[in-house]
Amino acid sequence: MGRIYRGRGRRLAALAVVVLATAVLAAPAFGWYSYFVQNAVWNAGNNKRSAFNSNLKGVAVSFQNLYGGLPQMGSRYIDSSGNGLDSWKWSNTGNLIDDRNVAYGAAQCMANSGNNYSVYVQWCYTGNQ
Amino acid sequence: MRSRGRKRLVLAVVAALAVVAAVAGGVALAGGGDKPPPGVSAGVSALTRLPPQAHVPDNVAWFVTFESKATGTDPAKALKGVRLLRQNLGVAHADVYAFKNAAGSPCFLLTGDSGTCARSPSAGTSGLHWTIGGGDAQRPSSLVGIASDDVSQVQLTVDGAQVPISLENNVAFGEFPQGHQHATIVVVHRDGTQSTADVNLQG
Repeated sequence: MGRIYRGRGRRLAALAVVVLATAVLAAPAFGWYSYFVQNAVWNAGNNKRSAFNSNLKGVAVSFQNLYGGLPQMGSRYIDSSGNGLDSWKWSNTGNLIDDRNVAYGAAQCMANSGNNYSVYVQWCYTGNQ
Repeated sequence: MRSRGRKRLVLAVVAALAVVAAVAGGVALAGGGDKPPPGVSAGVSALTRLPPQAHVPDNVAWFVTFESKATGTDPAKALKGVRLLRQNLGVAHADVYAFKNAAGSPCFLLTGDSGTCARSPSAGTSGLHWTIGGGDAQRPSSLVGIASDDVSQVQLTVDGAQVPISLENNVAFGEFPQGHQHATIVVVHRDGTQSTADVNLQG
């Protein structure tokens, strides 16, 4: 009997460790933010995404037309397959603020493929704060 | 005979000078008089005419603080200057809040959607600081922007179809279904001049 209880106790302890570790690793990171692009010069079509996270509460894109024209920048959220969770939001005046939320995904910012001039991207930001 | 020739020569020179002067004057008029002011530098009177908001929603306060810091503006001062320019817009019944940053540029937010906060009022399309596109399962795509006082009308064409755009309190707004390819924004100024922006909506 004692050996059975000892064996069951070890299994329960191991299970508890696994459950705890899973909970810690899978927990969404709240209070997280990321400037996932900084000080870049982008040509038409250039883009980048942030890391994936939960409860993303907005995207901001700071950019300037240092190389002329009125280049446009856009933002959206994507899923883990890279598909858009919403449609691109565009502007030709930085900073662009995207106030949309997503339960889980990554933010993506992009220089519009129709741009005739390079654009200076000071930063692209997202977070769940 | 020689005297008549001289007179003809003088007349020809005078006529040529008159033509040059007229052409130069025309060019000067077209270059200076026909060009609308850059960005929204003609002024956004709703930001002073309407009363500041005593309380703003949390996401608007976050936007004001974030954009104030990003544009070298005192966040506390910016929060005191927030105006509610339009309410209950579109499918999502969204509102447009705005404030002026340290550079004098209007920073606006269509709640739950988008906005801009330019470094200078002279930035962007003449007469309109805009965002376009977006949309998800809950709401269609939209055009929203802050128009300067010298703008009489904002027009939007999406894949060749006209989209109605309302213009009140310096805010232009209209919605259209998602999935379109191309948009053309036309800003009509009170002096009859127009500014346009073409956007590839799919990037």
